[in-house]
Amino acid sequence: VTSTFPTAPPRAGAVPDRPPRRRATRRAREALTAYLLISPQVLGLLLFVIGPLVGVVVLSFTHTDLLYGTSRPAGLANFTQLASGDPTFWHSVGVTVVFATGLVAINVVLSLVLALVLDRNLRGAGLILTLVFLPVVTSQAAWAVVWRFLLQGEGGTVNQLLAAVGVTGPNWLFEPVPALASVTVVAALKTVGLKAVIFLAALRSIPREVVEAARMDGAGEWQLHRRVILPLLAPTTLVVVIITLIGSFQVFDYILLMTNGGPAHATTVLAFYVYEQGFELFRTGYAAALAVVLFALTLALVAGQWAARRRWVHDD
Amino acid sequence: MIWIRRIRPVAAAVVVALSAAACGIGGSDRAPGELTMTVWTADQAQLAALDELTAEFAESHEGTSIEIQSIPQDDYLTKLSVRLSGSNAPDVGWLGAPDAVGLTAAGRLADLTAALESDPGYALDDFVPAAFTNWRDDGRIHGVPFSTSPFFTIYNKDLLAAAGLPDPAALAARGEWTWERLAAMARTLQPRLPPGSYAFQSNEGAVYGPLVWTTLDPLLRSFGGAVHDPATGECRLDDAESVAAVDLYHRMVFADGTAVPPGSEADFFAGDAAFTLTQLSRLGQLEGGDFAWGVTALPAGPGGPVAVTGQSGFVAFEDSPNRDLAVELVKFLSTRSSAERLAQFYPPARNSVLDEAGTVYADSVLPAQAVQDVLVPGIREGEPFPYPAIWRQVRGIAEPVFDRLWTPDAEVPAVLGDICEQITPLLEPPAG
Repeated sequence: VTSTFPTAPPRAGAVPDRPPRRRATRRAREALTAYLLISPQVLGLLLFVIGPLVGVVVLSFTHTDLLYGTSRPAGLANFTQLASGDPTFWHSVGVTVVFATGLVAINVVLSLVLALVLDRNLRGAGLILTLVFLPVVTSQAAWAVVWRFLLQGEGGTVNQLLAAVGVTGPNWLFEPVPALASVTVVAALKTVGLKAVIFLAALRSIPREVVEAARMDGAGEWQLHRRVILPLLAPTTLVVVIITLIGSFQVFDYILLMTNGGPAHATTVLAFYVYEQGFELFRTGYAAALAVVLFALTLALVAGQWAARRRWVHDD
Repeated sequence: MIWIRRIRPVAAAVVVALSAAACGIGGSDRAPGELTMTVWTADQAQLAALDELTAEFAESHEGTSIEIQSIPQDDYLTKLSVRLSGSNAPDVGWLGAPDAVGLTAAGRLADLTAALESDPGYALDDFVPAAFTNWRDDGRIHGVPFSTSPFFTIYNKDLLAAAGLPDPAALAARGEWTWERLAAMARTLQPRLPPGSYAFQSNEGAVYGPLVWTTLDPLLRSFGGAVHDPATGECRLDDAESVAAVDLYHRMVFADGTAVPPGSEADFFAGDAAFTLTQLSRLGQLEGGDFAWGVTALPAGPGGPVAVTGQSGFVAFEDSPNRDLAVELVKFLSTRSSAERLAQFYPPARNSVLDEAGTVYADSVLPAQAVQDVLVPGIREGEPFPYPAIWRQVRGIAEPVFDRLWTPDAEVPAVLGDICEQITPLLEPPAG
């Protein structure tokens, strides 16, 4: 096939083209230099991301025990077991859904309300924002351990405060429902400040004319927020929801430090179950299968949200 | 074939990257005679003592050098498992008894029997009777305990004296130091304690966590109960004796309010509890404490007095490229002479060293009387928890069920029966 494009005539005064061979050599040299320069990054990606990812998928089709050094092909046995022979897996999926829903709801609602309040430039708004942002820069482990002390059943600060108003608090981290509620709220409060800052930035980027036009059209505060501001915040809300959702599927340290998955698996989210199977029981093959399922679930959820964005995100 | 030309540089980058990686992560490059030993202590005095011993071994074995690698205890097993599954396995290492049992069953530990039995100077019969409970499988020895640490009672003398209660050591001397007596003393003591303090704390509160088994073991045995019978593979947690034992502890926590409840951070060593059960290695926490303390044996029960130990040991790994030398090193580190030198850190299981306990523990935080009355008999008569080979699976299944015990309205017999039902299929008796 020959090119149908006409060859451009040489420009007046232009330097004559180099011979094609020399040009090709120079291009090859440049390409090689470029690839050599990115090779450390490629190496890192291959060794620490792609390699382990492929390794996990391969391991999920084996019965491997890392500690005892045994490994044999398992076919789909690990996946069959988790689907039909492991009630703890389905329990942990349920716990993960409850945790993720709670985390997203608390995080988005609190941070949005906070951003709307702070956007009014009230006195002390900066101080409030600083206080709410403090947990974001606090170590996650320290945050979890401090809350473990505050939530002690007897003598814990939370229960002492409740007792002051005549309420007997539960043994927060040792009763199933309060334990799951506690880790969800503690995890949510940690990042409310960050999400509020994101919402605040989005709020301040809404053109004043749009708000003023709505007011001139007679919109009240409720209608202004319901019909104008919230729809304009939809792209930001989507990003916050996705970030929070992905984070909720990866949560591990709060569970380890506050409840160790208990009581009776009440706070064993899927990521913690992977850890328990892989690093407590050394059922490496089975843990890999669980990790593959967790990956697929996260991917499916994010893809679903992304696909649904056209329905409720108005970003033009 | 434009795509081939395009992909060629990418392939080149991948090859460069992989080549570089291959150069860096090749197999073990240790020369013959270069041994590595993994330990979980970071204590400089302990590491110095181990360094001294291994240097002596290297001197007596030409061309040998030993590197001691300290790995934090929390990560120890994970890192060891990764190394064992690759080409960088250590030659010798420390292991806790439950992991040694599993690794023995999986064939990962070298057989030490011939090396230890063939040398009369090693004096295998010098070890206390239960020393090899978890280190011998089917007559073959796969590890030697370097620490056989007995559990004992430690109590806050000031709190007891203020309440006018008798000294537990005096009660023990008269054979009256029992769980029922402890529970009764706790009921007297509790109203006099400040809020947030309790009369009794389980061993560092471990009864509510993964160490529930070994924490409950002294209580179960004193009532004549047990977790399981290793000879028959029968679960014994739902025996009447075991149920009575756990029921007593449950009563102390929820009915009497005298034992540290789940979720509370009250700690004996901080002065928040009057009694606890502990081991020698924990006594360092008493340094700088502002209360007088005493120690005595474990409380007895309807099943009589008990002595319970916890163990860690030296092992040589089967896949070591220097296996024979590694076996020799384990043997050297567990001779009478080595055990005596390590005894200041790790309670020894050799009778001949225990005979010299007065001298060995002259500078110990433990009072001389307690060394003779509690430590030495605790080791000589002590029984470690007998771990089944698939201990991790038993734990994984049973621990969430154990959690159901720690609520005020838990039905103790039903929960223990449920645990037995779930773990019985895993508790197979030894073959033959």
